[in-house]
Parts: sequence; C-alpha cells; structure tokens
Amino acid sequence: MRPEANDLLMGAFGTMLMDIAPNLNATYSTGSAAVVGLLMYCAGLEYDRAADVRVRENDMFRVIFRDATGHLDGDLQNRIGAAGHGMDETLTVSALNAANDALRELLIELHAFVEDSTAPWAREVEHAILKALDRSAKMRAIALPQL
Amino acid sequence: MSAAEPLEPALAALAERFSDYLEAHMPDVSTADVEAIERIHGGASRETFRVKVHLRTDATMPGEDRGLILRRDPTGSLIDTARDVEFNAYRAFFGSSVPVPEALFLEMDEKWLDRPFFVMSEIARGAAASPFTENPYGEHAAKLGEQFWRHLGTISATDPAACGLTDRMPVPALDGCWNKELDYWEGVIDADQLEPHPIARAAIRKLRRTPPPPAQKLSVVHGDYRTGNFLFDEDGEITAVLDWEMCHLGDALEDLAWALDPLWAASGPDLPGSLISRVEAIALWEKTSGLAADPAALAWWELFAAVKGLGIWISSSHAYATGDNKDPVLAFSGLYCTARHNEIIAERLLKDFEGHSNAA
Repeated sequence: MRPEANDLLMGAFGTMLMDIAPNLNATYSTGSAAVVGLLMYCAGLEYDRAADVRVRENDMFRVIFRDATGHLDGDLQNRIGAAGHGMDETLTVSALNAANDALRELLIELHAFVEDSTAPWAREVEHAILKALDRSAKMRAIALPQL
Repeated sequence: MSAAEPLEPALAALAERFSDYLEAHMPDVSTADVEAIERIHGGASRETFRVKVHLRTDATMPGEDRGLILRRDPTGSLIDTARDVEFNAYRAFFGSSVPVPEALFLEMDEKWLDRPFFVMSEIARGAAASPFTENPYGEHAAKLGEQFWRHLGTISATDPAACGLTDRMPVPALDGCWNKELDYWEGVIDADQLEPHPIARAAIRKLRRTPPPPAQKLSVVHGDYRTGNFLFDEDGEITAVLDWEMCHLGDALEDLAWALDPLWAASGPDLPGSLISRVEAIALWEKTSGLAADPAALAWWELFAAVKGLGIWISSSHAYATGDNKDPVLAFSGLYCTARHNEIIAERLLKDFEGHSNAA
C-alpha cells in the first residue's frame, strides 16, 4: 500500500494540527483536535516500528531466559527454559503482543527471583535484565515533534 | 438564563440548570443569568467549564458580571479522587501567599447537574503552558521559577492542622507516609494494567527494599505540583496554583520529587519544569520550606514519582481502553507519558545497579 498507513497518519496529524484545530470555534474542541493529531502522530510512529520492537524485545528476553535456565531448578526452570526456546512464528502485532506479555510476566518473576539470590550468577542475570529493560524503554520511546 | 448571547446547543441545558443552582444557593441574588459557558481543558480528571454569569440582587437594578469555573465529576477519570479534596485544599490556601482561586460551592447532590461538582471563582489573568514544550516560559523562566519553587516551599511549610486539613484528610504517621503512597499506587497499577509492566514492578520492589527516612514533619502535599498546573500572566507573575485533586498529607519530598521529574522538563533534566536549574530549585525550596532535601531521601521519592506517574498513565490507558472515558488526553497520557516514565525508571535502575556494582 502506498502511501503507507504511517504516511497517512503523519499527513493527517499535520492537517489536524495546522488546518483543522486552529479553525474550530470552541476552546475545548480546539484542544481535543490538537491531541487527536498527536495521537495520529504516535500511531504513525508505532505502525512502522511495532513489529520490529516486539520481535527484538522477545528475542532479548529469550536470550536472558536461555542464559539463566542452567542456574534455576524446578518449575521455574521448566517455564523459563521453555520460554527461552520459543520463537515468533506469526508476526502480526496482536500475536507478538501476546507472546510479549507472556515473556514479560516471566521476566518479572525471574527478576524478583534473582534479586533475592546472593549468587554471583544472579547479579549477571539481574544486570542483563536491567540492560534489556533499558533498551526496551528506549526502543518504545516517543519523541514528540517540536511545534 | 440570558437570551443576550446564544449558547452552544449542547451546553444550553447545563447552563439553565447551573443558573437554577446559583439562584437557589446565593441568598442575596435574585437572578443568575448564565451569559456564556464553554468547556475547557482543565485536566482530564474533571469536566471543567468556564462560565460567565450576570448576577442581580434586584431585578430592576443593573447587576454584576462574575467569572466562575465549574468542575463536575466525569463518568471516568484520569485520577480517581474524592471531589471534596480539591475543594478543601483551595479553601485551606485561599488568602495565603500561594495564589489559588476562591472555592465557592461544593455540591454532592446529583439532582442539580447529574453528578457532584464544585464551583470556584475564575482567575482573571493568566494561562498555563504545556509541560511538553521546550522553553515554554521564554524570558520569564527565571522569574517564574523563583515563584514556582517558593510557592512549593510555602505549601510544604504550611501546618496542615492550622489550615484545617488534618480534620478533612487522613493523617499518616511520619514513618508511614511513603508506604501509604506506594501501597496506593501499586494498587492502581495492579487494578488497571492492560499489560505486564516489568519496569514498574522492578522499581516498586526496589522502593520497598530501600525505604526512605520518616518525613521530617507532616506536610500538605499538593500531589500534582508541576509545570502545566499553574497560571502565569504576561508579566511573569504566577496568578494561580491549580489542580489540587490529589492533595493529601504526607512527606513534602513527594511534591519536590514530582516537580523535579524529568517528564516535566522538556528543556532538559537539569532544568526541571523548564524554569531554573535543579540546584537553584532545591535551594529555594529548602529555604522557603525550612526542610532539608536529603539526597538519598529525595532519590527515593524521585523514583517513587516515576512509579506514581506510571500509576496515573496506566489508569488513564485503562479508562480509555475500557470506554469509561474517551477523552483523547487519556490516550495520549497512556501512550507518551507511560513510555517516558518507563524510560526514566529503566535508566535510573540500570545506573543505580552499575554504580553499586562498581562501588563494590
């Protein structure tokens, strides 16, 4: 599809902000139109990167799980081990989100577990998790246009 | 209602009913004609209307115009708070050196306008700036910054009992202020999250592992003291400190940390609120409040501020996604502010970890 959805949304953002919002009579409507424009901008940004961000994040979390599995035992080891060897076969955003949510839940559990451990390997895993969370947050950051 | 200026059809019924309310609650007034009413963006937590009324004590004599602000409970909200909190806070600070509008009526009976509401006087001068705009205050940044941090210091210094708020709000123990707030916001995240939040959860665990010292004294906490929540005029004077709906009693460092949060610092983290430098801001606050901003305690409250922010943004996403409130501001907060606070927290957690590891 050309123009792509992100191009359409970015174009609509400009129209909303520059042409429509300033010409509305009611203060509240003007403000709302401007915010709707910003939402279009955010959606356009997300359309282009959504799958890429989620695939990269899921891969990052799975690497952490594979590295940690050998240090774990019992049920946690089984679940972390299985998740570490998963892969994203369907690349729709909804499918990637479902996988991402499951991986995030496990990451929270693993993070809390290693925080309570005094073993040196636990510090390495903790460091890897914190680096992954930092990278994830940076990948999902939204740089607003300066108007 | 006056027929002098036609109102928007959607607002006409509200204007009529509000006119009836004023006439029933202002004993000296015989007629209260709503001459203009418009909805404004006064925060997504309450429906806010600017109203111009013409009041007459005698139908045969000329009356006077009065500007009012009507804040009505919405069906869903960005911040789930009791409506009397903000009203009581305005009452507590009206007439003090912290400029606030005069709170006039608090109405809980839904028969008047379908939902509870309160009414306050309109501030005649001033406008708010967006916290997400670089250099929003231009040449007035230094002048406004001095007032902004001084007013916060004054709020922090105010005796909650002397201004009547200990009778109207829960009074936490000095060593329980942090726990009360953290419990509350963790509960909000638990209830409203649409997806797992590993960054918020990591921050909450860290906050619980390393609690701050007890509050130096019991303080009034504005709860949302930041750039965007005050009005200023063309001379660089702050004319009103607004949005007290999350006001509570607790540790004054909570407000300081929230105001310092990088989310409100579009011009850079060393220029909190895009006003004056962080160092100057903290010094001004300490001088006015008479309290100390212990670096370790402040660091705890700054991490907490970001978690509290996530609580608000996660809650706004939930309200929008479930259809409780389709105000686009909620969706924008849920997207942009969540992403920004996740970024702030993740960077802080990693930096703390690596700093601790290097020190060890």
